[in-house]
Amino acid sequence: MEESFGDLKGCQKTYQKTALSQYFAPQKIEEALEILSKYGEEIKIIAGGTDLLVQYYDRLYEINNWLDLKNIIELKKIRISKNQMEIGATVTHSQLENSEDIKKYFPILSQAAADIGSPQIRNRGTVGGNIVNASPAGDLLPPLMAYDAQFKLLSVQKEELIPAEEFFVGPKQTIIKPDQLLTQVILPLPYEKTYDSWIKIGKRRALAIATITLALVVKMAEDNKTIKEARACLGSVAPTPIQIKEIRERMIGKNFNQLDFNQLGQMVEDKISPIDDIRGTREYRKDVAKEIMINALEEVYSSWWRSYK
Amino acid sequence: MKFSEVNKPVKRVDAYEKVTGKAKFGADLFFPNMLYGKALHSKYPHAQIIKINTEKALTYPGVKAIITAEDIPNNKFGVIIQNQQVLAQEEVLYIGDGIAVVAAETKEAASEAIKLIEVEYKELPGIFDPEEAAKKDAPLIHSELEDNQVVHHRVRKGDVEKAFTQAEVILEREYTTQFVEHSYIEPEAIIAVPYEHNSLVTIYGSIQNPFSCRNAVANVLKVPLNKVRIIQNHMGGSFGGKDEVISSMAARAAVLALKTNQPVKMVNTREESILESYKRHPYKMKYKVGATKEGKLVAMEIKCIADSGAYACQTPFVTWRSVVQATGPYELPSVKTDTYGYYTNNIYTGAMRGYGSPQIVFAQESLMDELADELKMTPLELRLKNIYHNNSITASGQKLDNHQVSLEEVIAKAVKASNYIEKYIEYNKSQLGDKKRGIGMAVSFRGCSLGAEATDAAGAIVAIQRDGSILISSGLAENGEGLKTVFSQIAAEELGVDIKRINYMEVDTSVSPESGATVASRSTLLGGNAVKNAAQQIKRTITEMIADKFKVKSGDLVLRNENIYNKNNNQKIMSFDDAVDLANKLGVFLSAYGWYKAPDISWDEETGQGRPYFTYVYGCQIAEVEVDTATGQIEVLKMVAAHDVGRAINPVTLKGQIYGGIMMALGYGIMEEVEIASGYIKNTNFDEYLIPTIKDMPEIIPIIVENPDPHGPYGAKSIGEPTLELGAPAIANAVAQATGRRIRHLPLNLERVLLGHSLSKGGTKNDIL
Repeated sequence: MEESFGDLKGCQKTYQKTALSQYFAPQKIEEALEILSKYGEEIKIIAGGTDLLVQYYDRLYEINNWLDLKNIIELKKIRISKNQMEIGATVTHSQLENSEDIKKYFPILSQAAADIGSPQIRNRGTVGGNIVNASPAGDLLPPLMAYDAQFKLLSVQKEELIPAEEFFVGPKQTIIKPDQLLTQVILPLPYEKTYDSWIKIGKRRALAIATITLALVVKMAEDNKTIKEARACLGSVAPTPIQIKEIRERMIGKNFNQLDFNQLGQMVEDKISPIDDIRGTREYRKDVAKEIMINALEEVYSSWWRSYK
Repeated sequence: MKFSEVNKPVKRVDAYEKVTGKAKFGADLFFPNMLYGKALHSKYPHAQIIKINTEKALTYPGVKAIITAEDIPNNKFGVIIQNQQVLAQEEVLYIGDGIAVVAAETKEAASEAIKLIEVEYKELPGIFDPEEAAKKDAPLIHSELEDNQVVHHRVRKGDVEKAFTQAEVILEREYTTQFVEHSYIEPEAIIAVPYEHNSLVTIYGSIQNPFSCRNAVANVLKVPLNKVRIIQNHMGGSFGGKDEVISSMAARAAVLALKTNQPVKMVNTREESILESYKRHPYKMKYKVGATKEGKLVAMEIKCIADSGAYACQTPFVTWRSVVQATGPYELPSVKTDTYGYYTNNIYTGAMRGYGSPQIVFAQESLMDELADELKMTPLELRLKNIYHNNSITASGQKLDNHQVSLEEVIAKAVKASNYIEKYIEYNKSQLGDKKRGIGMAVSFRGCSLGAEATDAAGAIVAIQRDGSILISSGLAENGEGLKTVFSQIAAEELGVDIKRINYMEVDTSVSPESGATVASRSTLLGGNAVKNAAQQIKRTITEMIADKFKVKSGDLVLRNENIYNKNNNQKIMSFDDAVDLANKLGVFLSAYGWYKAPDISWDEETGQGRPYFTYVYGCQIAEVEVDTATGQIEVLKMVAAHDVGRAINPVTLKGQIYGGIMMALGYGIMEEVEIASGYIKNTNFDEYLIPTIKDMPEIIPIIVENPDPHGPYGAKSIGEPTLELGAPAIANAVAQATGRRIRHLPLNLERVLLGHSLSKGGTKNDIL
């Protein structure tokens, strides 16, 4: 924004184009990695463009080199392999929203995808873009974290698998290096007895950057009575999407009737430290975090109860 | 009365070009050798300009010219008070003030050159609260003035002090509203072309009021009006918003075009648009009302303070409409109302759909519900005890005796369609769970057209061509509301021809008759009468020509279904085409200038007594909401809107006005707010300034009520603005019923609903995106 207003925010940067623009649209991941290893920070990767084109609106001429992922078919696939789901980096939000497999195994990922932007944005925007853009308000991030996702990062040299929780380091900051490409999101297929809930609070019903989001995933043990795993992940309450680990500790090994939802809600409120920004104040976010945690627990509980009966 | 063209859902005459993308908007136009203009805006809301150095910027490749205030022949303009700077001269008065404008061969060069302009400022303390500006020792925003007051309007009726001593219940409340952006989909666009077709400069673009624009540009250039030609393009929305900001842009582009002798195009980005363009006035309103225990109002005392921002702009007239309508449509023996506007260093405020009414209707209709609560009475009952009827006397002492005062009718229809009574009773019972429902109503009366603001007249040309096709040109301008269609329907009705014969011309100030501005929901009423008048003149010419030739009485002839008939025996005398042929042969002139001047009105500025408007419209809207008390989210479930429009010339475009008005009212009521901190605007694009989307829209039930007005064409009055002023208070009243808590500040956003207050917010979008 500063650039487009020149003097407004003390930005005196002027732009002089030095070289001709280069545009690459390889068909193979390997070619893309080669290009990345050559250009590093000097190239912009574009997938759906729903973030990049907004950030560079009216000054696209400032980008010298482009790496467009659109021709890499491999990155557009959703597939099940052994005990895991592999989601290609350029799978769109619409694909996530509508995929039968995602709806079956990872319902709140599909719901979160359906809550993103508008149909136009969902048709273009990609899961990989949502991840590397690393907005604290990124809608897919809390569900991915709650489902224990890992991100596959490739470079010419090596392949790395990074857990979602280690990937984000700050607003718009991740550990990905300039020569690395995020190619896949890998999710372990859940047990049958998994119950989940997704809540997004925004200032309107569509096209709203989240004021606060919550993804809650609870897995039951074989007896379908004891909680085996519980992950509560929130967006827009910290510099990165976060998991409230204390919730996990408090819930594992318990039965639902041993839990005080109100107390768990309070725990979420106490453990987050949101800031005041244009989408909401700290006071509002803390207050609502508690309420939506209670609502999410109630939703999880009632779907468990229906299956238990 | 039976009509052939009006009172029918005729397809918009500009529908085809718009839906096929053929319609040209300002930004679509290109001219040979065209340059791109870009303005440098201020860095501070209030500062002295010590020095501007454009040397470096001028050397940037492609830059042709840079202008500052020194290059502007007459740097001050304004519709009411001429104190708006085209470019900041010695001081910047708000954050959107322009300092310099670059014209360059490419947009990129213009953008880069802007960054090379060096401005040395001395930052000055600013005033950002109109109540601070009102203080005696407050520094002056405009040093040539004695104080910071833009205007003060009064209404004095009866003895308020004495009346309050007789009141059995007295309520005092304060309400506030926010800065609101027009949010037209098309940001401002202007192209100035020098020396085209004998004009000094021709201006094309997204221009709400071509004649206001011409006045401003001619004034700034110090040239006669006939040297400046304004041609309006299709508009991507305006809502009152493309007046002064467009005039300023047109003046800047004109100066650059004349300096370079090349066309200059300026198109704002959304950020520039929000930063620079005027907003709807925020109001602080103190209401005191007295009533008997039975719920009869006895007195009202009102004080409203409007933030005018850096310039006067439309504040004098906006606050005037407020002073006339501040009590709402309620019979009151004693009233004392004061409305004020003050200069501050905030962004300036001006016309926006509603024009001083959305604020006061929010206050007065919230107040009526609060009073009903106090009196243990239903909101409906209290209103019915006090509303205007035929022959009621308004706060301004005007007897409502020349039209049907249909408040009770619109209320009854809205109540029935919304099941208000049943739902009100149901939602008053205790509700389980986080989600609570409520239903609320708001009613209003609204003066049609300009009233005592200004001379109120409009003109139109209807011209029959050799082949019987018809051209219409009016001085009022299509703003997207359907004016072209409505005017074409009226001409076709009068001439008894198919609307397909008509081609409606864009406003061209060198051809069209000056008609004042396309504002105040006045076009159908004023412009419609002017078109009707022109068509009637032609009709008379045709009938007299035929009467003469066929030896019949001209009064016996009627124009209908493309033919001319003798009404006594219903015999066809000739077709319309044959009549045009005949006129061509006989040398009869088949074109006419139509003119309509509104009935006389009166106003005493000291007492606020008189006849401020010559007629009024009445409306009632009812909102049903569901509030999530855990998160503060409001879902508006249903809106019922009953409006007396006199006569619906086109029921479909009229419903479009109701839907659109409700959408804007919903935004005003629950989400929209231009957030300004010490003069800096925080939300400069639609990712942060949120307006409703289709998913936020409720079910809307529009109810058109028709009590033809003696002054309107076929009885038609107004609809554009009344649709917008009722939604926010109706929603606020519904939310109060649902939650049991009254919110007296707009918007009713998540935090106000959940926490009861809105907190000051920090950060920018870059912190979180």
